[in-house]
Amino acid sequence: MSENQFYIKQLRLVFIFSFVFGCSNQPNGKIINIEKKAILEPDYSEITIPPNIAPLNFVVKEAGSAYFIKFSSSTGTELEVSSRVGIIHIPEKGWRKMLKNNIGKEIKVDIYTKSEIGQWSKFSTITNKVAIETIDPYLYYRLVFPGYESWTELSINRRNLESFETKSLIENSVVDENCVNCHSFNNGKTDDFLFHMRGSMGGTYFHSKGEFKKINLKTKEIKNGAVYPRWHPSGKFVAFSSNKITQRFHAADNKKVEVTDLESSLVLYDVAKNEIMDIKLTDKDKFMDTYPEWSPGGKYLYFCRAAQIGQNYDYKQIKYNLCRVSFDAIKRTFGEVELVFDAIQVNKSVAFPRISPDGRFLVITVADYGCFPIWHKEADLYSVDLSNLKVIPLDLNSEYTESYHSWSSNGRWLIFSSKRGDGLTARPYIAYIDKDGFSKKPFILPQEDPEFYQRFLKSFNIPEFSTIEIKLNPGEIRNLAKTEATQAKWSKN
Amino acid sequence: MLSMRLIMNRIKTNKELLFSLLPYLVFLTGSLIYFGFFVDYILFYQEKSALFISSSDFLVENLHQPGGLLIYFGKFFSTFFYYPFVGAAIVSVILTLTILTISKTISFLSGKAVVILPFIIGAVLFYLQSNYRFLLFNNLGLLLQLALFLLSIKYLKFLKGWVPVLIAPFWFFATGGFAWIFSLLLTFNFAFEKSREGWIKVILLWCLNLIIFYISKEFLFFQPGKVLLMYPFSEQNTGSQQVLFLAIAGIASILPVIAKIKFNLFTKFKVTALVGGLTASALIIIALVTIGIKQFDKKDKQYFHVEKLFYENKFDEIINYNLTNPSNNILTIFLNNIALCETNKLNDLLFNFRQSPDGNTLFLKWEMVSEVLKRGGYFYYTIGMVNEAHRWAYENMVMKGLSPEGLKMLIRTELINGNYKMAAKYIALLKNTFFYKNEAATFEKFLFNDSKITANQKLVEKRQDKIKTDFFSITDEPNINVERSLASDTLNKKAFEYKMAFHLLKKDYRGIAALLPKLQELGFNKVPALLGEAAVAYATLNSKPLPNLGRLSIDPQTEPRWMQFLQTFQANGNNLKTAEPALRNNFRNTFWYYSFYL
Repeated sequence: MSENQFYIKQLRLVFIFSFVFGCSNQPNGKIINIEKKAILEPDYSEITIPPNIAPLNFVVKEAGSAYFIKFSSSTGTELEVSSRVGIIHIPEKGWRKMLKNNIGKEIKVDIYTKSEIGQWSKFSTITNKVAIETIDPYLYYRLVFPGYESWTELSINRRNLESFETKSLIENSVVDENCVNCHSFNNGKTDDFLFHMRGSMGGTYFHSKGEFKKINLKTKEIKNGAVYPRWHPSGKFVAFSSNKITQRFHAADNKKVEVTDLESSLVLYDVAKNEIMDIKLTDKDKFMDTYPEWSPGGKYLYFCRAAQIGQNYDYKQIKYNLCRVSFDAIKRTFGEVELVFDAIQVNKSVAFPRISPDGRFLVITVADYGCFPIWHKEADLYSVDLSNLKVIPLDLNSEYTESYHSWSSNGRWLIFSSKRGDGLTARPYIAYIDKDGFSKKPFILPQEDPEFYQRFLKSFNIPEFSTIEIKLNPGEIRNLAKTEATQAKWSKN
Repeated sequence: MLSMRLIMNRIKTNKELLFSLLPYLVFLTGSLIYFGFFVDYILFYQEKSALFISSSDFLVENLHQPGGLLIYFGKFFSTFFYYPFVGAAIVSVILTLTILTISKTISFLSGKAVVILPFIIGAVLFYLQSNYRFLLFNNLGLLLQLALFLLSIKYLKFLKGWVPVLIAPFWFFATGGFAWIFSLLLTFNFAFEKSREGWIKVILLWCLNLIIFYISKEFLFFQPGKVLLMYPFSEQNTGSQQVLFLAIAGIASILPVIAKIKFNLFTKFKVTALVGGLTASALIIIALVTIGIKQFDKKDKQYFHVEKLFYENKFDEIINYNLTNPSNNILTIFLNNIALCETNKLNDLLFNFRQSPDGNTLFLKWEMVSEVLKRGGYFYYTIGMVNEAHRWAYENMVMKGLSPEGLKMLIRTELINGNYKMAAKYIALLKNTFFYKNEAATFEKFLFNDSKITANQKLVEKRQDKIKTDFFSITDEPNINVERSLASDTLNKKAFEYKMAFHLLKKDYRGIAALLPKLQELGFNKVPALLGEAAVAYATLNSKPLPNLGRLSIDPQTEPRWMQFLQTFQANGNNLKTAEPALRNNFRNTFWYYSFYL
């Protein structure tokens, strides 16, 4: 070996040594403690998470030349992740194992950053709790630009919450850019699924027991089209509201769009008999009834009710109460209307009633007025305890819009739309609801790329939990869309 | 002696090569000059119609269906149209390469040099490209098919020539409906092999195509067959020249057939490379000049020049340009009226330009599908209806995708409204472009920083002018929005100017006279000329005193000129028709002339 070769070899060793130890991605030497929690984007700190959720990848929004994250629990270190730029991708396998090992326990997250001069610092420990109850494995939602009138690239998607797998069920690009909306599951039996399509291939598309059909619910007896659907838990009926809707645009207000019902009533569709009928309620012509919701047993139909407006009306004075009626499924008849929550008395208006699977809590969106709170910044989620009709705002609310929400099948998780990120685009947030109906701090649906929400311009619309993977693809919908819709029959009862 | 002969031969060969390349160089140069200097508005339009974002998200978005990659590269090249000469070079190189590829293909297949047909095709493509709505990806798509075919027959001969057959289905993913040209080229080429293997290749090629098409339709992209078959080809993106483009694509698809046809007409004429090269060059120049003149649209050039100045906020230049180059185009006058309003001249110079009496040159009615959506919001931005301006820009983005000016409008309106988080998202997109990074950096400074916005004259003015009291916008009748803006903010000077301009168009003397006392309150330094003319005419014709104008006064020349106008009219026997030429000569830009004759 020549002298030169010897020196080269020595140099290589020095280089490797310095690379391994000098540029270590793991904290070493004296570590400075910073008495604050690191800022994470998305904020996944101090939250309760399902034991089967996909990794909560995040970005550490603190300055540093290297980042090191240590997940630990009462049993010791579980997982370590390092990054040069603060983007933390948690390995899925390790994450799953960690959650499995710590069901019902806490997970500590220690965040270390390295300064430009090589000094490591440690932020205050973040403690997250792994709940005992799992979350439903699937989430269905519509992706749409939070715009005003036009729609392109509109789709209804399925996300596997245990991983990052996403598939589109329906894309409007395959059906002549027709608008697809109002997808709905039967909460008790989530293979019952429907959605509306508006436009040249219009109709209501029902998917039930593997059968897929297109129905025209509009009969000459129905004044306005069937809009907001809810499946009866038996799967035999679907209640719709039939609405005449107007949309106007605010010139100065931050609300941008004002959607107002001019008329609305409730109708019932009998799936097996292909019959649609009025839901006959006392003095129904004096009211606008909308947003139906069945109780878990199907014995009550909840809905929102406002006084029927005249030709000249002040849209800010339209306020909805929460009501219910009993339902006899054999006779297809309804009882007398009962007031559940008098929102008007507290100068508020309710929308989107959704009952927990155990029937104890009903979560509503409460806004200052109207029935379309998606554009209302003040809109928040409130919980009605149906055992005593006590109404409380949930702790999960923010200063921005919280609106559409859905319960998981075990009633411990609530997913809801919130515009807290940027004020415009709705994002799905998940919150743990304890047995007393109180919510924990919510967290945003995790994405493989933690910077996804910073770039993505579309809204996640109507997030709905589901326990099953619906076997549908846009091709099947394209084929059905081309066929004539089966006409529903009108029934007087 | 031998080496001397070699040198001479080499010189001769080089000369022949030069002369044979001369037509291509002439075409390239001619095209470069035409697109770079005469119809640069085509490049401007295409650059402003789409925005190339250098991000993986953008690439993925464009891969949602077969042919998306071609669109992606079309957008990539079009983004360089930002510099007209670079754009002209890109367009010209694509056109010239297409001609060269066709020529080389036929030569390779027939063994003879061919010039005429490739240049005829080139001339037609040049014709198509000189329509501003004919997007670049069309010619790029055609070139890629021809280039891959040439590559296939010349170089991809290993594996016994099976490679192109295997490539074809994947080529469909990249170039969509354009890939059928490649498959047809291969088919004809294999057919002329007149061998069993050639026919097997044809059968396999179309079987693979069919399988890929079926898989795409039923398992991958789910789109209707017609869409998959044609995309990204469309009537809209060819500037409604689809028949001609399809004809050219058809001819390009049968090049192997054409190569087999023996043209005897020109073979009788033996010409030297010099004569051939020069003759072809001369014919190309004639063809390009003829097509160029036919396709040149002065109205379009004027409009896009105005639009360019408009985006650069050069309002005075717009007005001067339109004064020297009068236009009848509604969109040109619409932008010009905004420029007049932004420079406080709307009620002085309104009738120096050809206005539409129904108000369509003042404000555009809401339209979802046409070019109106892209531009109509600027009127609202000027009068302080920031939400409405934002809505137009947003809807345009949803309908037609991102565009540089649309994105900038979204950023500005979000900054004015203080919606910094959304503004940040749009700015991040603009930062990922090639040529708008600096503007993005400038916008970025305003994020979450009200004091920076306050220090910026343009943004702070817009924040101040923004209407404060809410109402519902009526986009089908924009004049109602002007009324409502003024009802909620009586000191909205720009909305007031538009209101008065609408009164002028409607010849509403009384309405104008009634509103004149508000001028002082609104901060006017003088009575705008046209309003003065209306007021004087109203007072004279109705024997009423002029309205109280406070410290403002009507130009002292207005009344004598009105008298002169009336006298001219009377001198022509109070006959409208007879008096018209004289009145036009002296009063063509006055409210009086408009009122009498338009």
